Amino acid sequence: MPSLSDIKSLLSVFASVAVISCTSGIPDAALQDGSLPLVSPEYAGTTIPCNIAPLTFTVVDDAEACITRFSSPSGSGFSVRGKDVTPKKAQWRKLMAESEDADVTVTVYEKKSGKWTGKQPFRISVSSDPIDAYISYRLIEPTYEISGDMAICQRRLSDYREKEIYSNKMDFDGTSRQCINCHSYQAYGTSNMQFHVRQRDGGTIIFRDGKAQKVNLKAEGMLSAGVYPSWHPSEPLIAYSLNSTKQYFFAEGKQAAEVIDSFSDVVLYDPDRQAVSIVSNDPDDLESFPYWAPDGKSLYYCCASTDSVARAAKTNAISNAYDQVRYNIIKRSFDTAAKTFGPAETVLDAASEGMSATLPRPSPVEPYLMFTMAPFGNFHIWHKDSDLYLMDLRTGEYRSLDALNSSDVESYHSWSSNGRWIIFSSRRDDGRYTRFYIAYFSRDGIAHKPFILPQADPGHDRRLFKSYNIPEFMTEPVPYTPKQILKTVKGDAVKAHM
Amino acid sequence: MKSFPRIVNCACYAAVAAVAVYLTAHYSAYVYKFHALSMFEGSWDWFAAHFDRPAALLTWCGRLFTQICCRPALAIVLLMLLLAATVWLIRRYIVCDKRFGALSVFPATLMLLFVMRLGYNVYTLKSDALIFTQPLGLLCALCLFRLLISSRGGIFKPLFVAVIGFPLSGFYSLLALLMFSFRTLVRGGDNKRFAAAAVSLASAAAVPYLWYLAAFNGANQAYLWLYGLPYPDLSGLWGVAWPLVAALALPLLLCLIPFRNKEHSSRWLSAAVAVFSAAVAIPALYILPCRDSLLHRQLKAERCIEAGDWDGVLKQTALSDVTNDILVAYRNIALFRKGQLVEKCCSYSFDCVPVYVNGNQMVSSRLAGPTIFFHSGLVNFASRWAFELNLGNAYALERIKYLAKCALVNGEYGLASKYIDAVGRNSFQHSWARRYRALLSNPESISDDPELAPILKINRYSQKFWLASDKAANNVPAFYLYMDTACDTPEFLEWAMATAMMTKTQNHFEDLYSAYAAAFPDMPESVRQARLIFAVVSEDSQRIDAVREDLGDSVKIDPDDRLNYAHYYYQKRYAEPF
Repeated sequence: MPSLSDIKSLLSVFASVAVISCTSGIPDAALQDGSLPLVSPEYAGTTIPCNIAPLTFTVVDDAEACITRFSSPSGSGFSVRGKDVTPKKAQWRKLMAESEDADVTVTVYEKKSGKWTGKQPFRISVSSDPIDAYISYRLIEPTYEISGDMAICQRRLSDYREKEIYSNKMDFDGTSRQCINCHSYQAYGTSNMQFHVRQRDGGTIIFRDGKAQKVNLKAEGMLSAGVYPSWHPSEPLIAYSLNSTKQYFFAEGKQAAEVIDSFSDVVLYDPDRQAVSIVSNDPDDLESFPYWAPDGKSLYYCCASTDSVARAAKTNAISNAYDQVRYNIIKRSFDTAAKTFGPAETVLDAASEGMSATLPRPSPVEPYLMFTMAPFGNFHIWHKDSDLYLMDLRTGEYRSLDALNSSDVESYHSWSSNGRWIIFSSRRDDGRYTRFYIAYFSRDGIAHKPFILPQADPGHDRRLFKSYNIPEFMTEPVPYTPKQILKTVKGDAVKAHM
Repeated sequence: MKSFPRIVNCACYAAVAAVAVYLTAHYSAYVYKFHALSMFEGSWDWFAAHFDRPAALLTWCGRLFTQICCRPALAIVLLMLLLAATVWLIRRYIVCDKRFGALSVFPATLMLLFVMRLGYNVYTLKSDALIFTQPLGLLCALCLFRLLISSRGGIFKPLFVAVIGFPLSGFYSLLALLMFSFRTLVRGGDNKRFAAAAVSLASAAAVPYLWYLAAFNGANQAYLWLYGLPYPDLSGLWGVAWPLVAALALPLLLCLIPFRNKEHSSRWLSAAVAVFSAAVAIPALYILPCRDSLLHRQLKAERCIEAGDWDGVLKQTALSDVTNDILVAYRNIALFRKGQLVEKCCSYSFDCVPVYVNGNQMVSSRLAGPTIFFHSGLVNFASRWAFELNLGNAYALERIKYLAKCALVNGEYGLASKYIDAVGRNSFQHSWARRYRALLSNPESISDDPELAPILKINRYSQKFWLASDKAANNVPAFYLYMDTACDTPEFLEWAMATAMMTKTQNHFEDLYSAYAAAFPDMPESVRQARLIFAVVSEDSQRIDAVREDLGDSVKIDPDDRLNYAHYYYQKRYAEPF
């Protein structure tokens, strides 16, 4: 039951609000304090796009009341009362318009023991490079084996509007839930999209120009159905990895689990012919995470090479070898007319440096390749020391993106269509629940300090028991309704063939 | 004779009151478990996330009320008040004929039986807040029925009730519409009654679908008319579900009793309905005195574990010779934590009776995984199972608390803070949250904490064992429970065999031994000795002979020596008390 102290604190908040509401604007007699305010999430020194939703945060300092002032370079701006700082959309839009390619100054005033103090202001840079209008992601508990409610969602970045593209609640029969995963789009558009449904009514749901199809991608002779997808940027082709994956658990330590591929290949699927062809299936190699170059003339993927450790990894003795499986980044040229691939070229020999590189993602506009790297393995979301790296494809040199990395996991990442923004997943907040961070990537190849995907309620992420998973930028919303998608999910699957 | 109905009615009400006293006396740990296995955050997030499905408000209210179960006596009083209101509404608006007034207690009694006789299913609930959601739903249906039979409103009133009621209470609004249709059809005297009944039935059939088309993206169309009912929990469990089905069917039947109709033919109809209703209800009453003593001992032992009362655990687990694997595990934990495991693990009355565990019990045993693993110091396994069970069943306060404590022991303070905050948003858990929040980022306090310090100490002894997902991890809460398939390393197999001995699961021990022998033929002598010891402990002469023959003469033990293999194993690792 609420205690007496709870009721007292509630009354004091009401009293403070009453006092503040009698004053207007910023307190005149505020003392100045040299320290930065304690706010969550933290935005000081970040760079944000001019079309982003209002940044919201909570002042965590133990203050009786707060007023936060947002100022444009010209000095105009607005104030927000209360510890939960949630700017109004119209005011925010005006502020962004006035602050393009300049800084917004944020000053927090706190009232303690009846006296107002102005904390040291912090700045947020506003870039005139817009970010794509939408992102999509999967909302899922950081689960091990049993699935809960999960949904693939789209979120408008200019505000907080989130809509479910498809949710496994819609086909929940009371006992078993579907797993839905690996949403992917062609060239940032959404009329061509795909995702997988596993377990009941399983199959790969592919939409092409308004037409839906459910496909069973496990053609005869393939080791699994398609897993990690990548649409060709212009052709009706999707590259998939095929993965035979197992999950293992640690009895102690902060790493709870390790996910390991016993076998994996990369294939190409042609939805017009429902035909699958092999890209790479060396029996001694573990290939995964394909991704097309922006011109569609080459395909990147990661591959653990044929050495004794990789072979050991394919046996049940994996427990002795899991931390020695290391992936390199490979590229194969692609002839669009003949639909054939060239020989494998090693883009990054990470294994020789005792590291394992995965998730190669080339910038859509510049010769950069971003990837995730950790000391071993390919499922880096469980690796605390996983970080983001950037390779200059002109020189082959790569570097850690220190501005983006933290002491915890950084993993899945995507470029915006103009190449100026990066969204990536990180577990820096609590070590378990993945959140999205967005960073500006300037034309001189520098990644700026990231900010967390803003939420209407600044406490939302802290309360949410789900992870944000697989961020993908989109230039438009998905045009298909959940019920349209459900109809396809419940329909019969077309069997792919080799 | 006129006073006879009154006497019967009074007797019925007295019986219900006696049930309340009985429940309070014997079911407090059980009622408490509803609270521990429910979750209420006190924020609008859950409500917002579930409003795309019917009956969100009803479930939300049920979750809110379920929190009162942390004070079991209070919860039972509240439950009885809800059921008394149900009886009153039925008596006032459905069974208006005083001669049949006693029938009004049956639906409420059956509802009570349903929630109290869930037994082990209380662990596996997927529907939130079953203990209060269903009684609240029935009450809601009766209130809507009362609204429908009021004189105001035209024949389209059922449509209005369906449109408003279905999103809020799901199936229970449809029940009200069905009751109204039945009552309207038998009421007589009104020319529009057929039209009203038709509108009511059509609304019950069509409105859910219209709502589905308009708003309910989160609903499964195939189960659209069932939202509000605990159908995910009861599919395939008709033995458990039928008191609920009867509780919901009886108001429908009772609506067939004509409303203050004095005609002779109607009296016969009333009597027939009354007899039939009693025939539906009375057989269910036989389960009232049945009480699963193992479950209730287990629940009491869990409360003792929660309080760190290891003597209490030992008391509960030693109350009879009949046991199950979870009680054995709880007893072992208590002995372990008192530093008496090695001396006493085979010293109680049922130590020589190996437990044979079937598949169904394995499933229910997993539900004790977080408790068993955590108090055995295996925090990653405890955390994993708490997480899996939250997803497989419903989010539960108890399991969030384990997640918080595991994160504290692991030094994951950000994560611990998230879980503690989630628990603290429940108005009844402020003091719990305050206690554990004080430990955040404070390893010294954790190592001094009377509850967490021993766990921290034991956790340091844990080895980096591997559990393959499709083998051991799915089938084993391994430490004190059992496993049925092989794992990767001989060390793990030895460990698992030791736990099989501890839980006396002889069949699993043999499975493990076979797996060990196949994978590692050069097994140590001690493992062979262990097999012989376990056979001797079983006191099954045929089995002992078979094992002796299989092992040959080289393996020797002293059958009288209580220092068995489990002793050897645990002495090596956990010799000191915690």
